[in-house]
Amino acid sequence: MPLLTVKNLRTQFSTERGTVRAVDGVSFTLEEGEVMGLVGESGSGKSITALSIMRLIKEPPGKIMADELTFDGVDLLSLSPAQLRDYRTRHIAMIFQDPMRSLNPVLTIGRQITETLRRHLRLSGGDARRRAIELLELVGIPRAEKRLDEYPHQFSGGMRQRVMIAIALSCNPRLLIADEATTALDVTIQAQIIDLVRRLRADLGTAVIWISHDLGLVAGLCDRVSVMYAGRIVESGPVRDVFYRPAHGYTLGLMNCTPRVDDIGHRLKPIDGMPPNLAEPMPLCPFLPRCEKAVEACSVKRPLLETVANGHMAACHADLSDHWRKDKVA
Amino acid sequence: MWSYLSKRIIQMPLVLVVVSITIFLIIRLTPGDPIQIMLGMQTSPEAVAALRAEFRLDEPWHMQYIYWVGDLLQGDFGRSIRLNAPVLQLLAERLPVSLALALSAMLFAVVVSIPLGLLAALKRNTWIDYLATGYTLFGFAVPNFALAMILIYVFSITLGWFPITGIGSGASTGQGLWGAIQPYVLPAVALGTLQTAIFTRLLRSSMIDVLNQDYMRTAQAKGLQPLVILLVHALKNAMIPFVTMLAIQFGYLIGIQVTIEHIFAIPGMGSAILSAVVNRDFPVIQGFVLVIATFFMLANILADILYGIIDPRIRY
Repeated sequence: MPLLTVKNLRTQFSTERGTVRAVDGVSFTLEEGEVMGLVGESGSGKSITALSIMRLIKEPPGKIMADELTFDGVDLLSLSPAQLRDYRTRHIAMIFQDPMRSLNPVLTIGRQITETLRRHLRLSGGDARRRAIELLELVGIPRAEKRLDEYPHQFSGGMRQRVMIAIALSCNPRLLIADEATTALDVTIQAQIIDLVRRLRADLGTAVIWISHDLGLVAGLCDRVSVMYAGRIVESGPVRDVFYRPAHGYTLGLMNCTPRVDDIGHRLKPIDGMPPNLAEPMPLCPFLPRCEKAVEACSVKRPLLETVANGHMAACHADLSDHWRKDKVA
Repeated sequence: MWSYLSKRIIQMPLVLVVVSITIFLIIRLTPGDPIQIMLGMQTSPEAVAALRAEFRLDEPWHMQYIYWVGDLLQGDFGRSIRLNAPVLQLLAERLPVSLALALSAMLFAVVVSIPLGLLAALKRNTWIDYLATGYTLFGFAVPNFALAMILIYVFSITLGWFPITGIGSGASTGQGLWGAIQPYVLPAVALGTLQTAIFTRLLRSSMIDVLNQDYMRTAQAKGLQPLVILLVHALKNAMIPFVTMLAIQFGYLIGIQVTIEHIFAIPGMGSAILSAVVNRDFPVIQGFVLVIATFFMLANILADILYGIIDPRIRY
């Protein structure tokens, strides 16, 4: 049984301009200890997918629907608010995007870390404090003992992000959702954090959903990657397959606008145009107006997610095999 | 913190000098002679002149000011021209009454506005929110003397729950603690309703602002109990502007009691100043205004201190 099963997840927001389908039929499964990358541009629904799994979408105006949303066999959508609270951070933890604003400015770092330990693991004040010091050392914050009594404004952005990571890891969750967790960090720190996530997964079997714009980082860290566009997964599969043999026009576009160290002098090609308005119905492929590889079939019907190769799926009518990296294909 | 505080406290006398010179000038530049008013028109000019000399009113105003400050520095607020009693004695009678009234009005405002503001923010656009909005509109719109009349009519005359007068008279209407509190209820409500409206609005808007912050989502994601999220994570942030306003309004409340004192026959500072102004009783006006200004400044310093305690980002 997979740790997390998401089947036809739809998250909508009713606004004055109509219903916005921020996530529109996302499906995937995640095994214990598996690391899945979730990539796509801003507004593609990555964060909303994550928040939907955490059930942190405010309802109303939001609405989460799914054919199945189970964690370790438990239906997350049918949990009561009290049951849900027992899962958050204890079993499913999330690291948020903006470290500058995700910590409470008037509470000490120590309080913000220990409160999860006391709440979920029922640690005493002293034990919680000792564990908090361990956690800060784990994420590489020096003089942890002293820094526990400081406030968020006394920490730099990178340090705050590490505190957020320490909080997320505090109860050894089985699923960690990291939403742009290292985007605000220096490359060296980024490498340390990635190392930490790898270790966690090896030691504790933590499964990870890694949301990022950084394709290189996803390639290095993840087993599998799902590419989102306009609220849907348009391509997903093992990292090597998706990146070296992209089967969707959007993935190809993403690859073309990502710098590569092994191809210096290669011109980056931006994807022209804007993502579609999610409040409007989309009978065709949502990427069609921006796609350079569109074929006739694209203006007839919307492509469905179909298997390209073993474990590799894409929702695209075009044949992109000309663009595959021959040197990387075994 | 301490260096900032001491700086603020050193500033206080300077502000008081400016305040006192201003009030000194204003009451002397407006027409009306305290001695004439007291003795009437039939008195001989000699008697008037003698009394003027006794109160040093024949000196140029800057000399009067210097004499007055000199006396003040020795703890002497001067004598009331009208009542022929030390201003300090009058202050000792009136100040505790005004402070008690201001405190009870404040207590009423805080006790009502915190739950009301919180509920309005949490249950936004529901009937609770509309009720709170209606109440604040009422509080802003209805003058306190009109509200006092309504309260007296409903709760004293019709229902007979509370006495109309009784503060400072010594004659308690009931026994024990309740008897002591009872006469303060209606004046406190009448005086504090505007502040209740101000605080409710402020808390509602700052709470709504806080609830939309990213760190509230973090608190949710931690699986904390709703009460912990509300009281620890949200309220502490929302209280920052609230506490500042609280202290400032307290200073204000001491100075604006005149109409309420009049209606409920309360022997407070407001009515003393009013009669002093009517009678041109210079020493009383000067002394009382100085005391009110001091309280106002102390309230502001208190606001700064509280601000620094609640918000760790503020360091002086």
